[in-house]
Amino acid sequence: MIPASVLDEARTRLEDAGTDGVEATGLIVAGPDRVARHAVFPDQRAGDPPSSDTHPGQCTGQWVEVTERGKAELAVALGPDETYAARIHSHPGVAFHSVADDANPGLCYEGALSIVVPFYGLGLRAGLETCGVFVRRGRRWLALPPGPEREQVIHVAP
Amino acid sequence: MTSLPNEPNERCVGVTVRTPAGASSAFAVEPGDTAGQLTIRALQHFERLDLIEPGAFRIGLLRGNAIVDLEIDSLLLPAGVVEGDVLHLLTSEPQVDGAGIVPAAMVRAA
Repeated sequence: MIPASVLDEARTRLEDAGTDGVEATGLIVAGPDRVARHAVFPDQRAGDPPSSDTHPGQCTGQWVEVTERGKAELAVALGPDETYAARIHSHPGVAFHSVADDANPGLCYEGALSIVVPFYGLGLRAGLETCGVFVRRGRRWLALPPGPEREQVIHVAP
Repeated sequence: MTSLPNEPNERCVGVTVRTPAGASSAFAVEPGDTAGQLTIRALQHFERLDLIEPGAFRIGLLRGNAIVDLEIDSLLLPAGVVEGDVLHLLTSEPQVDGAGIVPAAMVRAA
């Protein structure tokens, strides 16, 4: 369950990055009850070619990478009883899971969630229905279109 | 001269290892254990439970509000690991999201 306030917090960060014309990425923290508590946006960089050689010559402009410092920030940000339940990031246009999104090792475990927010975060103003929601099952990201199946996995509380 | 089993330099210590997502489990660290050995043991454990997927990882020691990176061949106890410490697995792979990266096949075809 994700309180709307957590999504608002995330939306603000995504839109802020969007005003600079770049994507942003964060992780949503949940307690043992699987209720989301807040979002963490670690140190990241966007808009330049990826630092690794895994995507040489394949960048067409929009991507965001959590830095090594950011990875450490994510580890430190977790309380003893907390886990990361979902990844949330923005796209400049429509919401889909790109090749990079699929390959991102940042949050890969059975049942993890990935939320893609369209239009640099603005899409979240209309609610989660406008976003892409994906769940990790069998080491693949499966799309959860709006509807009952999505509602069983992720529920937004007012 | 021999050491008694409970002398500090001969004891194993209990630590907690956490995945990047925050799943945690307890592990015993023997005096001769390296960071690399603990990393492998932890990965095998978490993979069995579907709490992590295969990949390249390193391990860091939580100290206050910072993570201290440990070289894979570092002996953990001499490196300062003590009873009750928390260590974090961190991915060594790029953590990239975004709409702008396209498959190599598409680039070649363009």
